Amino acid sequence: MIFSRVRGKKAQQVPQKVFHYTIFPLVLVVVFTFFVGTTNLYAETEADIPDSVEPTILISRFINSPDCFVYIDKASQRAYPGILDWEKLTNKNLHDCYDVEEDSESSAYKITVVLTGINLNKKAEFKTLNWEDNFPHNFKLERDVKVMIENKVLEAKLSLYKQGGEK
Amino acid sequence: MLKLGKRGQERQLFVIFEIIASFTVVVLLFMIAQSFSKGFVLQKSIISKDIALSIDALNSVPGNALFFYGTGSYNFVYTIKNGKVVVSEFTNLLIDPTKRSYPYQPVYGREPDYVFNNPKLLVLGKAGNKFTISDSEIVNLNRFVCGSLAGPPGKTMVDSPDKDKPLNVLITKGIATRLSGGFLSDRLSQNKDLSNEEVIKSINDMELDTIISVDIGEDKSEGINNVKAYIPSGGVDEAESWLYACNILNSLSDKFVGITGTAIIPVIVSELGPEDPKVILGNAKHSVYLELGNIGSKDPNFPDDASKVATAILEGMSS
Repeated sequence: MIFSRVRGKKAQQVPQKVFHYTIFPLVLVVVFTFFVGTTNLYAETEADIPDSVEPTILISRFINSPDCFVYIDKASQRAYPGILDWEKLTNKNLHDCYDVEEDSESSAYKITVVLTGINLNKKAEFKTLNWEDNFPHNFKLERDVKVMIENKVLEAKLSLYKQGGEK
Repeated sequence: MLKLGKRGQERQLFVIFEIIASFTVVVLLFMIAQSFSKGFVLQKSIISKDIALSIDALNSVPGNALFFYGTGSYNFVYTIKNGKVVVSEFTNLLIDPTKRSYPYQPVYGREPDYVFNNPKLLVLGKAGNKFTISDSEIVNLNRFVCGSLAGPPGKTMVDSPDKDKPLNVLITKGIATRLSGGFLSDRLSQNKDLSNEEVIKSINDMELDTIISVDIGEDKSEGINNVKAYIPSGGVDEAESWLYACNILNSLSDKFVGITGTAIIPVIVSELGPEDPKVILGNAKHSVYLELGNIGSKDPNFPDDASKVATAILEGMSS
């Protein structure tokens, strides 16, 4: 009481100004952000899609699309979906058919193709540009495929590893 | 008029700022509440995911495919570019606090770049090397996936052995000459009937790099108007002839909506009879024998615009 009596009128206005200049805009921003965040979170939760959807679509691209690794007969130019060309299992081909930048928010993928025949120890591994070696994958999908290697069709297993995908 | 001091002016400015800021936030919150109550926020999220995953799925299809997506009665703006599908209520994305987006993974060289304002339908199409999204356009599903040609076709002749349906003959030494000079109107066999042997001799005398021969096709079904491209099987230049055939067929099917199908057919020239017009194949570095339309069709004159056919062929050869 004594202190307040001692303070002048101008001195009392200082905390009010501080509130107006700093707290008020802050409150506005917090209220707005909270409202937008809650609304968008609701929409994301309601429209959530299972983790397996995107890798399932993409593994189909990697196995079937002539843009990726599919074997194409040089003479007839015919593409053989389901048969991968060993020569095309490279990072460059992966980047062409999954065109993302290093800092992309899209899911990152690593692919390994391992020949499953006897006495074969061949393995190809390649990654999208946004793959982080230091982080673990959060989803894995496997498919049996065929690989054309030196004019022979051999059995192989393709594994697709996914990182991220938080949209 | 009341005179305000420095502090008074400051206070007045701050009151104005307070009013503007509060008004803006109230309007934005009202917009969000309205969008939420109408279900728009959820719908935008669902639609952006649907379209992004559809793009991914179409890019996974080995052949050509169309996908029709009905957007319902919502008046949304769809921005599909830079690896994201953004669904918003306004053209200016910045003023929609509840816009929703979802990323898709484009294929190199087929990055979509589209903005649609309140479409009722989106047609996503993958045909050959093209990926298109439109709200009305018909996508040419007869497109092939072709490579690029190694260079200009060189000295070229486009000929039509069909006397009743003549096509301009083109003799050229390269693309530049062709574009500036247009078509030559002389037709090699216009005024006299030449046997196959004589035609081949004339061609050999001309030392052509490329020959494109055009004839009318035949099919039992009257609803069919296919285009078949025959190329010589085997030989060093089969792959290059295949590329010419592929690009010409894409160009023709882009220009003529009535074409019902396209095919590239390799033939063994030595197995053909002496009177078969396809014996013309293999008499130049690259050769393609085209059969257009169907003489037994409801519309036997299709395609009737010879100059449009010739232009389509030339454009295909320049791809």
